Amino acid sequence: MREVAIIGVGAHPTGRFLEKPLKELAYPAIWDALADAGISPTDVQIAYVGNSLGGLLTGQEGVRGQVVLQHSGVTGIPVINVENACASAATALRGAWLEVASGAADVALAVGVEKMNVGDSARTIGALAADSELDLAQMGLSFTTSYAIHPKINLKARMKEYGWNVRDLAKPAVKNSYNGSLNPLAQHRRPLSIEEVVQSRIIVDPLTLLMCSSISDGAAAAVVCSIERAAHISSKLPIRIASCVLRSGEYRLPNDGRPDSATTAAFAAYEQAGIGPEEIDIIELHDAMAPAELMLYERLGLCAPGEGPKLIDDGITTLNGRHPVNPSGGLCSRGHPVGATGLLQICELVWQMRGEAGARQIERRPKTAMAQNQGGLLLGQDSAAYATTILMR
Amino acid sequence: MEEAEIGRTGRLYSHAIAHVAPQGFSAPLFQAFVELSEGPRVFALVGSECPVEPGVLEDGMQMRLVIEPVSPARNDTFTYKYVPMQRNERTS
Repeated sequence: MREVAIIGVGAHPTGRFLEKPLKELAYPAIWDALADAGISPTDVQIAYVGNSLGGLLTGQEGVRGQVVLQHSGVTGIPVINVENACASAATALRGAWLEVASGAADVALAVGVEKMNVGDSARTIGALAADSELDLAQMGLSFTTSYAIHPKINLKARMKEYGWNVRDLAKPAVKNSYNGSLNPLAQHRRPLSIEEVVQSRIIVDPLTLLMCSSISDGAAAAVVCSIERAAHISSKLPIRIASCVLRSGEYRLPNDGRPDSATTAAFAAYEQAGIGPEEIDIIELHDAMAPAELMLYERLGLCAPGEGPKLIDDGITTLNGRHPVNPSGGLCSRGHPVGATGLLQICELVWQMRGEAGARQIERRPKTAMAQNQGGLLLGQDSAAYATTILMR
Repeated sequence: MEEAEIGRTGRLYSHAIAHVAPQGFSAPLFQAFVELSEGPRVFALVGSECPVEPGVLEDGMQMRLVIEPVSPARNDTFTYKYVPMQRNERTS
Protein backbone atom coordinates (compact mmCIF):
# COMPACT_ATOMS: atom_id res chain seq x y z
CA MET A 1 0.00 0.00 0.00
CA ARG A 2 1.22 3.48 -0.88
CA GLU A 3 1.14 6.44 1.47
CA VAL A 4 -1.66 8.85 0.56
CA ALA A 5 -1.94 12.60 1.14
CA ILE A 6 -4.78 15.10 1.05
CA ILE A 7 -3.64 17.97 -1.18
CA GLY A 8 -6.84 19.97 -1.56
CA VAL A 9 -10.08 20.58 0.33
CA GLY A 10 -13.15 22.72 -0.21
CA ALA A 11 -16.54 23.24 1.40
CA HIS A 12 -19.84 24.94 0.71
CA PRO A 13 -21.17 26.83 3.76
CA THR A 14 -23.70 24.83 5.79
CA GLY A 15 -27.18 26.19 6.33
CA ARG A 16 -30.52 26.58 4.60
CA PHE A 17 -30.25 26.90 0.82
CA LEU A 18 -33.76 26.04 -0.25
CA GLU A 19 -33.27 27.13 -3.87
CA LYS A 20 -30.05 25.17 -4.52
CA PRO A 21 -30.16 21.63 -5.93
CA LEU A 22 -27.49 19.07 -4.95
CA LYS A 23 -25.11 19.99 -7.77
CA GLU A 24 -25.10 23.69 -6.90
CA LEU A 25 -24.13 22.80 -3.35
CA ALA A 26 -21.42 20.43 -4.60
CA TYR A 27 -19.72 22.61 -7.25
CA PRO A 28 -18.16 25.25 -4.98
CA ALA A 29 -16.82 22.50 -2.72
CA ILE A 30 -15.37 20.52 -5.66
CA TRP A 31 -13.90 23.51 -7.48
CA ASP A 32 -12.43 24.95 -4.27
CA ALA A 33 -10.82 21.58 -3.50
CA LEU A 34 -9.33 21.34 -7.03
CA ALA A 35 -8.10 24.95 -6.91
CA ASP A 36 -6.70 24.35 -3.43
CA ALA A 37 -4.73 21.38 -4.79
CA GLY A 38 -3.70 23.39 -7.84
CA ILE A 39 -5.08 20.83 -10.31
CA SER A 40 -7.69 20.94 -13.04
CA PRO A 41 -10.88 18.80 -13.18
CA THR A 42 -9.33 16.63 -15.90
CA ASP A 43 -6.50 15.58 -13.55
CA VAL A 44 -8.98 13.62 -11.41
CA GLN A 45 -8.87 9.91 -12.26
CA ILE A 46 -11.70 8.59 -10.08
CA ALA A 47 -14.39 10.12 -7.87
CA TYR A 48 -16.40 8.85 -4.91
CA VAL A 49 -19.58 10.83 -4.22
CA GLY A 50 -21.30 10.45 -0.85
CA ASN A 51 -24.93 11.37 -0.31
CA SER A 52 -27.53 9.91 2.02
CA LEU A 53 -31.02 11.37 1.58
CA GLY A 54 -31.16 12.48 -2.06
CA GLY A 55 -32.99 9.36 -3.21
CA LEU A 56 -35.90 9.79 -0.83
CA LEU A 57 -35.98 13.60 -0.80
CA THR A 58 -35.49 14.36 -4.49
CA GLY A 59 -36.42 11.05 -6.11
CA GLN A 60 -33.04 10.93 -7.91
CA GLU A 61 -31.82 7.38 -7.45
CA GLY A 62 -28.88 5.33 -8.67
CA VAL A 63 -26.62 7.88 -10.35
CA ARG A 64 -26.56 10.91 -8.07
CA GLY A 65 -22.75 11.13 -8.25
CA GLN A 66 -22.74 11.23 -12.06
CA VAL A 67 -25.61 13.75 -12.10
CA VAL A 68 -23.82 15.98 -9.61
CA LEU A 69 -20.46 15.79 -11.42
CA GLN A 70 -21.63 16.01 -15.05
CA HIS A 71 -21.16 19.78 -15.38
CA SER A 72 -18.25 20.07 -12.96
CA GLY A 73 -15.58 19.10 -15.47
CA VAL A 74 -14.95 15.89 -13.54
CA THR A 75 -16.47 13.50 -16.09
CA GLY A 76 -15.61 10.49 -18.21
CA ILE A 77 -13.94 8.78 -15.26
CA PRO A 78 -15.17 6.07 -12.88
CA VAL A 79 -17.72 7.62 -10.51
CA ILE A 80 -18.72 5.59 -7.47
CA ASN A 81 -21.92 6.44 -5.61
CA VAL A 82 -21.59 6.07 -1.85
CA GLU A 83 -24.56 5.75 0.48
CA ASN A 84 -23.72 5.05 4.11
CA ALA A 85 -26.12 7.19 6.14
CA CYS A 86 -24.40 9.98 8.11
CA ALA A 87 -21.04 8.28 7.46
CA SER A 88 -21.38 8.59 3.65
CA ALA A 89 -18.67 11.24 3.26
CA ALA A 90 -16.09 9.44 5.40
CA THR A 91 -16.86 6.30 3.40
CA ALA A 92 -16.29 8.25 0.16
CA LEU A 93 -12.92 9.43 1.47
CA ARG A 94 -12.03 5.85 2.35
CA GLY A 95 -12.79 4.81 -1.24
CA ALA A 96 -10.61 7.57 -2.69
CA TRP A 97 -7.82 6.75 -0.23
CA LEU A 98 -7.94 3.06 -1.14
CA GLU A 99 -7.78 3.80 -4.89
CA VAL A 100 -4.56 5.75 -4.44
CA ALA A 101 -3.11 3.51 -1.72
CA SER A 102 -3.59 0.46 -3.95
CA GLY A 103 -1.94 2.14 -6.92
CA ALA A 104 -5.11 1.97 -9.04
CA ALA A 105 -5.19 5.78 -9.33
CA ASP A 106 -2.77 8.63 -8.69
CA VAL A 107 -5.34 11.37 -8.07
CA ALA A 108 -8.80 10.73 -6.61
CA LEU A 109 -11.64 12.98 -5.51
CA ALA A 110 -13.99 12.42 -2.56
CA VAL A 111 -17.21 14.44 -2.38
CA GLY A 112 -19.96 14.58 0.23
CA VAL A 113 -23.12 16.53 -0.53
CA GLU A 114 -26.51 16.77 1.15
CA LYS A 115 -29.65 18.80 0.67
CA MET A 116 -31.99 18.40 3.64
CA ASN A 117 -34.10 21.56 3.30
CA VAL A 118 -36.92 20.70 0.92
CA GLY A 119 -39.61 22.95 2.41
CA ASP A 120 -41.16 20.16 4.52
CA SER A 121 -39.20 19.27 7.64
CA ALA A 122 -41.48 16.30 8.46
CA ARG A 123 -40.45 14.73 5.15
CA THR A 124 -36.78 15.35 5.90
CA ILE A 125 -37.08 13.81 9.35
CA GLY A 126 -38.92 10.84 7.82
CA ALA A 127 -36.09 10.36 5.30
CA LEU A 128 -33.53 10.53 8.12
CA ALA A 129 -35.46 7.94 10.12
CA ALA A 130 -35.22 5.61 7.12
CA ASP A 131 -31.46 5.44 7.84
CA SER A 132 -32.46 3.22 10.79
CA GLU A 133 -33.24 -0.47 10.63
CA LEU A 134 -36.72 -0.23 9.07
CA ASP A 135 -38.66 -1.99 11.85
CA LEU A 136 -37.33 0.57 14.31
CA ALA A 137 -38.15 3.52 12.07
CA GLN A 138 -41.71 2.29 11.57
CA MET A 139 -42.21 2.12 15.33
CA GLY A 140 -41.06 5.72 15.61
CA LEU A 141 -37.52 5.30 16.93
CA SER A 142 -35.85 8.56 15.91
CA PHE A 143 -32.17 9.42 16.25
CA THR A 144 -33.09 11.78 19.07
CA THR A 145 -34.80 8.99 21.00
CA SER A 146 -31.89 6.68 20.33
CA TYR A 147 -29.45 9.15 21.85
CA ALA A 148 -31.69 9.45 24.90
CA ILE A 149 -32.47 5.81 25.68
CA HIS A 150 -30.67 3.34 23.39
CA PRO A 151 -28.94 0.79 25.65
CA LYS A 152 -25.58 1.65 24.08
CA ILE A 153 -25.96 5.33 24.94
CA ASN A 154 -28.72 5.71 27.55
CA LEU A 155 -27.99 9.25 28.67
CA LYS A 156 -30.52 9.00 31.48
CA ALA A 157 -28.73 5.98 32.95
CA ARG A 158 -25.39 7.75 32.55
CA MET A 159 -26.75 10.78 34.43
CA LYS A 160 -27.69 8.48 37.29
CA GLU A 161 -24.51 6.42 37.22
CA TYR A 162 -22.01 9.26 36.85
CA GLY A 163 -23.95 11.97 38.67
CA TRP A 164 -24.22 14.06 35.49
CA ASN A 165 -26.96 16.69 35.44
CA VAL A 166 -28.65 18.37 32.50
CA ARG A 167 -26.10 21.20 32.62
CA ASP A 168 -23.36 18.64 31.97
CA LEU A 169 -25.24 17.45 28.89
CA ALA A 170 -25.36 21.06 27.65
CA LYS A 171 -21.61 21.70 28.02
CA PRO A 172 -20.51 20.36 24.61
CA ALA A 173 -23.19 22.49 22.90
CA VAL A 174 -21.94 25.61 24.69
CA LYS A 175 -18.28 24.90 23.92
CA ASN A 176 -18.98 24.10 20.27
CA SER A 177 -21.28 27.10 19.77
CA TYR A 178 -18.34 29.33 20.67
CA ASN A 179 -16.14 27.54 18.11
CA GLY A 180 -18.91 27.79 15.53
CA SER A 181 -19.27 31.52 16.17
CA LEU A 182 -15.72 31.90 14.79
CA ASN A 183 -16.41 29.80 11.68
CA PRO A 184 -17.75 31.72 8.65
CA LEU A 185 -18.93 28.42 7.11
CA ALA A 186 -21.02 27.44 10.14
CA GLN A 187 -24.80 27.19 10.15
CA HIS A 188 -25.31 28.56 13.68
CA ARG A 189 -22.95 31.35 14.68
CA ARG A 190 -24.38 32.58 17.97
CA PRO A 191 -22.49 31.56 21.11
CA LEU A 192 -24.89 29.86 23.54
CA SER A 193 -25.01 29.87 27.34
CA ILE A 194 -25.67 26.80 29.47
CA GLU A 195 -28.97 28.34 30.60
CA GLU A 196 -30.15 28.85 27.03
CA VAL A 197 -29.35 25.26 26.09
CA VAL A 198 -30.95 23.78 29.20
CA GLN A 199 -34.06 25.96 28.96
CA SER A 200 -34.71 25.40 25.26
CA ARG A 201 -37.67 23.17 24.34
CA ILE A 202 -37.44 19.49 25.32
CA ILE A 203 -37.43 17.23 22.25
CA VAL A 204 -37.02 13.82 23.92
CA ASP A 205 -36.14 14.10 27.57
CA PRO A 206 -33.38 14.82 28.59
CA LEU A 207 -32.43 16.28 25.17
CA THR A 208 -33.37 19.88 24.46
CA LEU A 209 -33.59 21.60 21.08
CA LEU A 210 -30.19 23.30 21.36
CA MET A 211 -28.51 19.95 22.12
CA CYS A 212 -29.62 18.61 18.71
CA SER A 213 -28.03 19.14 15.32
CA SER A 214 -30.46 20.73 12.88
CA ILE A 215 -31.59 20.25 9.29
CA SER A 216 -28.78 21.44 7.07
CA ASP A 217 -27.63 21.73 3.46
CA GLY A 218 -23.95 21.57 2.54
CA ALA A 219 -21.09 19.94 0.71
CA ALA A 220 -17.39 19.22 1.07
CA ALA A 221 -14.67 17.69 -1.07
CA ALA A 222 -11.10 16.47 -0.79
CA VAL A 223 -8.44 15.65 -3.39
CA VAL A 224 -6.03 12.85 -2.53
CA CYS A 225 -2.88 11.65 -4.27
CA SER A 226 0.12 9.48 -3.51
CA ILE A 227 2.53 11.14 -1.12
CA GLU A 228 5.45 10.95 -3.56
CA ARG A 229 3.42 12.71 -6.25
CA ALA A 230 2.07 15.32 -3.83
CA ALA A 231 5.14 17.57 -4.00
CA HIS A 232 5.06 17.54 -7.83
CA ILE A 233 1.33 18.16 -8.12
CA SER A 234 0.67 20.68 -5.38
CA SER A 235 2.51 23.43 -3.55
CA LYS A 236 0.34 22.86 -0.47
CA LEU A 237 1.63 21.09 2.63
CA PRO A 238 0.57 17.45 2.09
CA ILE A 239 -1.55 16.05 4.90
CA ARG A 240 -0.95 12.31 5.17
CA ILE A 241 -3.84 9.90 5.77
CA ALA A 242 -2.25 7.76 8.48
CA SER A 243 -5.31 5.52 8.81
CA CYS A 244 -8.84 5.35 7.52
CA VAL A 245 -10.99 2.74 9.25
CA LEU A 246 -14.61 1.79 8.64
CA ARG A 247 -16.55 -0.65 10.82
CA SER A 248 -20.15 -1.80 10.99
CA GLY A 249 -22.10 -1.92 14.25
CA GLU A 250 -22.15 -5.33 15.93
CA TYR A 251 -25.16 -6.85 17.64
CA ARG A 252 -24.56 -7.12 21.36
CA LEU A 253 -26.66 -8.94 23.92
CA PRO A 254 -26.93 -7.32 27.36
CA ASN A 255 -23.92 -7.78 29.63
CA ASP A 256 -21.61 -8.37 26.69
CA GLY A 257 -18.58 -6.50 27.92
CA ARG A 258 -16.76 -6.35 24.58
CA PRO A 259 -16.04 -2.81 23.32
CA ASP A 260 -18.50 -1.20 20.90
CA SER A 261 -17.66 -0.41 17.29
CA ALA A 262 -16.91 3.30 17.88
CA THR A 263 -14.13 2.13 20.20
CA THR A 264 -12.82 -0.67 17.99
CA ALA A 265 -12.81 1.60 14.93
CA ALA A 266 -10.90 4.29 16.84
CA PHE A 267 -8.36 1.90 18.30
CA ALA A 268 -7.79 0.20 14.95
CA ALA A 269 -7.11 3.67 13.54
CA TYR A 270 -4.67 4.45 16.38
CA GLU A 271 -2.86 1.18 15.81
CA GLN A 272 -2.54 1.68 12.04
CA ALA A 273 -1.28 5.22 12.59
CA GLY A 274 1.14 4.07 15.29
CA ILE A 275 -0.02 6.60 17.88
CA GLY A 276 -2.31 6.66 20.91
CA PRO A 277 -5.17 8.95 21.98
CA GLU A 278 -2.85 11.13 24.06
CA GLU A 279 -0.88 12.04 20.91
CA ILE A 280 -3.87 13.34 18.93
CA ASP A 281 -3.65 17.14 18.75
CA ILE A 282 -7.16 17.88 17.46
CA ILE A 283 -10.43 16.00 16.91
CA GLU A 284 -13.61 16.48 14.93
CA LEU A 285 -16.23 14.03 16.19
CA HIS A 286 -19.82 13.08 15.53
CA ASP A 287 -21.87 15.10 18.05
CA ALA A 288 -25.24 14.69 16.29
CA MET A 289 -26.68 15.30 19.76
CA ALA A 290 -24.37 17.39 21.94
CA PRO A 291 -24.11 14.96 24.89
CA ALA A 292 -22.86 12.25 22.50
CA GLU A 293 -19.57 14.15 22.60
CA LEU A 294 -19.20 13.24 26.29
CA MET A 295 -19.71 9.56 25.48
CA LEU A 296 -17.36 9.69 22.50
CA TYR A 297 -14.56 11.10 24.69
CA GLU A 298 -14.72 7.76 26.50
CA ARG A 299 -14.94 5.67 23.35
CA LEU A 300 -12.01 7.44 21.69
CA GLY A 301 -9.91 6.86 24.80
CA LEU A 302 -9.67 10.50 25.89
CA CYS A 303 -11.00 9.91 29.39
CA ALA A 304 -12.36 7.30 31.81
CA PRO A 305 -16.11 6.63 31.94
CA GLY A 306 -18.04 9.56 33.39
CA GLU A 307 -15.23 12.12 33.11
CA GLY A 308 -16.49 13.83 29.95
CA PRO A 309 -17.92 16.97 31.55
CA LYS A 310 -14.65 17.45 33.47
CA LEU A 311 -12.70 17.51 30.18
CA ILE A 312 -14.72 20.56 29.19
CA ASP A 313 -14.64 22.13 32.67
CA ASP A 314 -10.84 21.77 32.73
CA GLY A 315 -10.51 23.24 29.23
CA ILE A 316 -8.89 20.10 27.78
CA THR A 317 -11.21 20.00 24.76
CA THR A 318 -11.79 23.74 24.31
CA LEU A 319 -10.25 25.58 21.36
CA ASN A 320 -6.80 25.98 22.83
CA GLY A 321 -6.83 23.04 25.23
CA ARG A 322 -4.61 19.96 25.04
CA HIS A 323 -7.12 18.08 22.83
CA PRO A 324 -9.41 20.60 21.09
CA VAL A 325 -12.62 18.84 20.00
CA ASN A 326 -14.89 20.14 17.25
CA PRO A 327 -13.05 23.40 16.51
CA SER A 328 -15.39 23.87 13.52
CA GLY A 329 -18.40 24.01 15.84
CA GLY A 330 -19.22 20.34 15.35
CA LEU A 331 -22.48 18.96 14.05
CA CYS A 332 -24.66 21.16 16.28
CA SER A 333 -23.11 24.53 15.31
CA ARG A 334 -21.14 24.03 12.07
CA GLY A 335 -24.09 21.96 10.85
CA HIS A 336 -24.84 18.35 9.89
CA PRO A 337 -25.73 17.98 6.19
CA VAL A 338 -25.58 14.28 6.83
CA GLY A 339 -23.87 12.92 3.70
CA ALA A 340 -21.32 15.77 3.73
CA THR A 341 -20.39 15.78 7.41
CA GLY A 342 -17.44 13.36 7.27
CA LEU A 343 -15.65 15.50 4.69
CA LEU A 344 -16.58 18.77 6.43
CA GLN A 345 -14.68 17.31 9.39
CA ILE A 346 -11.69 16.54 7.14
CA CYS A 347 -11.74 20.09 5.68
CA GLU A 348 -11.59 21.60 9.16
CA LEU A 349 -8.70 19.37 10.24
CA VAL A 350 -6.70 20.11 7.09
CA TRP A 351 -7.21 23.87 7.51
CA GLN A 352 -6.15 23.65 11.16
CA MET A 353 -3.05 21.57 10.32
CA ARG A 354 -2.01 24.05 7.62
CA GLY A 355 -2.70 27.08 9.82
CA GLU A 356 -5.52 28.33 7.57
CA ALA A 357 -8.41 28.23 10.04
CA GLY A 358 -8.74 31.98 10.53
CA ALA A 359 -10.25 33.25 13.78
CA ARG A 360 -10.62 29.72 15.17
CA GLN A 361 -7.03 28.67 14.35
CA ILE A 362 -5.50 26.68 17.17
CA GLU A 363 -2.36 28.46 18.36
CA ARG A 364 -0.24 25.32 18.61
CA ARG A 365 -0.70 24.19 14.99
CA PRO A 366 -1.76 20.52 15.11
CA LYS A 367 0.56 17.80 13.80
CA THR A 368 -1.94 14.95 14.27
CA ALA A 369 -5.70 14.96 13.88
CA MET A 370 -8.67 12.58 14.08
CA ALA A 371 -12.05 12.64 12.36
CA GLN A 372 -14.77 10.41 13.82
CA ASN A 373 -17.97 10.06 11.77
CA GLN A 374 -20.83 7.60 12.24
CA GLY A 375 -24.21 6.86 10.73
CA GLY A 376 -27.40 4.86 10.68
CA LEU A 377 -29.10 3.08 13.52
CA LEU A 378 -29.30 -0.59 14.45
CA LEU A 379 -31.16 -2.29 17.25
CA GLY A 380 -28.10 -3.91 18.76
CA GLN A 381 -25.72 -0.99 18.30
CA ASP A 382 -26.36 2.72 18.37
CA SER A 383 -24.98 3.25 14.86
CA ALA A 384 -24.67 1.11 11.74
CA ALA A 385 -21.40 2.56 10.39
CA TYR A 386 -18.36 3.94 12.21
CA ALA A 387 -15.51 5.70 10.44
CA THR A 388 -12.29 6.98 11.99
CA THR A 389 -9.58 8.79 10.03
CA ILE A 390 -6.22 9.92 11.42
CA LEU A 391 -4.25 12.64 9.63
CA MET A 392 -0.61 13.63 10.14
CA ARG A 393 1.70 16.31 8.77
CA MET B 1 -31.66 -22.30 13.51
CA GLU B 2 -34.56 -23.05 15.78
CA GLU B 3 -37.66 -20.97 16.45
CA ALA B 4 -38.21 -19.82 20.01
CA GLU B 5 -41.11 -17.94 21.56
CA ILE B 6 -39.94 -14.89 23.46
CA GLY B 7 -41.14 -11.58 24.79
CA ARG B 8 -44.25 -12.13 26.93
CA THR B 9 -42.58 -10.39 29.84
CA GLY B 10 -39.57 -8.21 30.44
CA ARG B 11 -38.06 -5.42 32.46
CA LEU B 12 -38.16 -1.74 31.51
CA TYR B 13 -34.55 -0.97 30.59
CA SER B 14 -34.84 2.70 29.63
CA HIS B 15 -37.56 5.11 28.61
CA ALA B 16 -38.24 8.69 27.62
CA ILE B 17 -41.15 10.95 26.80
CA ALA B 18 -40.89 12.22 23.23
CA HIS B 19 -42.30 15.73 22.99
CA VAL B 20 -41.89 15.86 19.23
CA ALA B 21 -43.74 13.03 17.52
CA PRO B 22 -42.29 10.98 14.67
CA GLN B 23 -44.44 10.78 11.50
CA GLY B 24 -47.66 8.85 12.19
CA PHE B 25 -47.58 9.41 15.96
CA SER B 26 -48.79 12.17 18.25
CA ALA B 27 -46.84 13.71 21.13
CA PRO B 28 -46.28 13.25 23.95
CA LEU B 29 -45.51 9.55 23.75
CA PHE B 30 -43.46 7.07 25.69
CA GLN B 31 -40.61 5.29 23.90
CA ALA B 32 -38.69 2.55 25.65
CA PHE B 33 -36.23 -0.29 25.54
CA VAL B 34 -37.39 -3.45 27.26
CA GLU B 35 -35.08 -6.23 28.35
CA LEU B 36 -36.99 -9.41 27.63
CA SER B 37 -36.99 -12.15 30.26
CA GLU B 38 -35.15 -14.31 27.70
CA GLY B 39 -32.28 -11.79 27.42
CA PRO B 40 -32.45 -9.54 24.34
CA ARG B 41 -33.29 -5.84 24.61
CA VAL B 42 -35.84 -4.49 22.16
CA PHE B 43 -37.13 -1.06 21.26
CA ALA B 44 -40.79 -0.87 22.25
CA LEU B 45 -43.71 1.48 22.51
CA VAL B 46 -45.80 1.56 25.65
CA GLY B 47 -49.42 0.37 25.58
CA SER B 48 -52.16 2.97 25.34
CA GLU B 49 -53.61 2.02 28.76
CA CYS B 50 -50.58 3.72 30.31
CA PRO B 51 -51.01 7.53 30.72
CA VAL B 52 -48.07 9.50 29.26
CA GLU B 53 -46.95 11.40 32.34
CA PRO B 54 -43.67 11.71 34.19
CA GLY B 55 -43.39 9.25 37.08
CA VAL B 56 -45.70 6.61 35.55
CA LEU B 57 -42.79 4.47 34.38
CA GLU B 58 -39.64 3.63 36.26
CA ASP B 59 -36.64 1.82 34.78
CA GLY B 60 -36.42 -1.70 36.15
CA MET B 61 -40.22 -2.23 36.36
CA GLN B 62 -41.63 -5.59 35.29
CA MET B 63 -43.52 -5.27 32.00
CA ARG B 64 -45.91 -7.48 30.06
CA LEU B 65 -46.71 -7.76 26.36
CA VAL B 66 -49.78 -6.21 24.75
CA ILE B 67 -50.64 -6.24 21.03
CA GLU B 68 -52.02 -2.97 19.68
CA PRO B 69 -52.15 -0.82 16.56
CA VAL B 70 -48.86 1.07 16.12
CA SER B 71 -50.69 4.36 16.74
CA PRO B 72 -54.25 5.71 16.35
CA ALA B 73 -53.19 7.12 12.97
CA ARG B 74 -51.79 3.76 11.89
CA ASN B 75 -54.51 1.44 13.15
CA ASP B 76 -54.09 -1.00 10.24
CA THR B 77 -50.69 -2.17 11.50
CA PHE B 78 -50.34 -4.04 14.78
CA THR B 79 -47.20 -4.26 16.86
CA TYR B 80 -45.89 -5.46 20.20
CA LYS B 81 -45.97 -3.00 23.08
CA TYR B 82 -45.38 -3.30 26.79
CA VAL B 83 -47.25 -2.08 29.87
CA PRO B 84 -46.29 -2.23 33.55
CA MET B 85 -47.38 -5.44 35.27
CA GLN B 86 -49.95 -5.11 38.00
CA ARG B 87 -48.70 -6.03 41.46
CA ASN B 88 -50.85 -9.16 41.57
CA GLU B 89 -49.52 -10.41 38.21
CA ARG B 90 -46.94 -13.12 38.50
CA THR B 91 -43.60 -12.68 36.83
CA SER B 92 -42.64 -15.64 34.73
